[in-house]
Amino acid sequence: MKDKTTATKRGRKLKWKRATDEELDDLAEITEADIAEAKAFAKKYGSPRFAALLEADKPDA
Amino acid sequence: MPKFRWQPKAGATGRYQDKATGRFVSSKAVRSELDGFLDGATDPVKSLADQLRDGSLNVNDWETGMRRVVKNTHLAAIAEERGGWENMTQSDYGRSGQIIREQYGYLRVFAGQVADGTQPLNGRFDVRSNLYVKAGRESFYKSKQAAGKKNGLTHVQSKLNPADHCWECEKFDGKWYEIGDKSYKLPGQRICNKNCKCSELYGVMVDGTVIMAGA
Repeated sequence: MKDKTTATKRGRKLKWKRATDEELDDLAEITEADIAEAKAFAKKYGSPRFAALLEADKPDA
Repeated sequence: MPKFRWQPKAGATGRYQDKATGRFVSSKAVRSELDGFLDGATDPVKSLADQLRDGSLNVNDWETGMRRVVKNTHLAAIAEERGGWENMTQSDYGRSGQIIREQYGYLRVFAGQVADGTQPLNGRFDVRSNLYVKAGRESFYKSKQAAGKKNGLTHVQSKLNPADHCWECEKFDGKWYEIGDKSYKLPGQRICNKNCKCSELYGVMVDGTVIMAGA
């Protein structure tokens, strides 16, 4: 009998472990490392002006 | 040395100011930069889709990669709305986390459909994958409305993008809705979905009349 979980690319079942709600809650937490990664991502895929906006200074005191 | 400074009291929910010229950056320009970024951020989505198709990634690896893209995209979109990384508060990060968690839930359903074969790896799969990035526009406006409400703004109206809109965008165009009114849909929640390019204007109710506060 064929294993129904065998990976295929043609619409049949693929192996996958469903994340729990608690796991997603944890994964959605934002850490310092996430912020550093998002900064690098924004620089890579945004324009220089987009990056410059994101690097804006704090307001006048 | 930063080229811009964030001025939270300017405009409806704050504006960027060019430090050299003192000129404010228009909301249209800010939105245009976001649109360009969201277009670029579909590159890694395409790469992940290709790797899933050729078998170099399994569904869990693909979902993990998509979660990274979702977090990076939505964080940057919200940071742009909030005046940049230096101006993000704990509350802003908290709101970002909630928005990202919601997207992770949708992504889990999508991944499940890929795994059980109800979502084949076809063109529709590519379109759906890209929507997770385009949803950054919706997050931008969610953040803007939250900031506006905090600043005392009471109302929002949609501003039609003449080139790219649906009939729902036409329905919401130019009409005031109380911020939080369930009958109002954010750009990105309408029939034209995450591709919506309409923008928003904000106002304050004074003596029964809504006074425009800006974009």
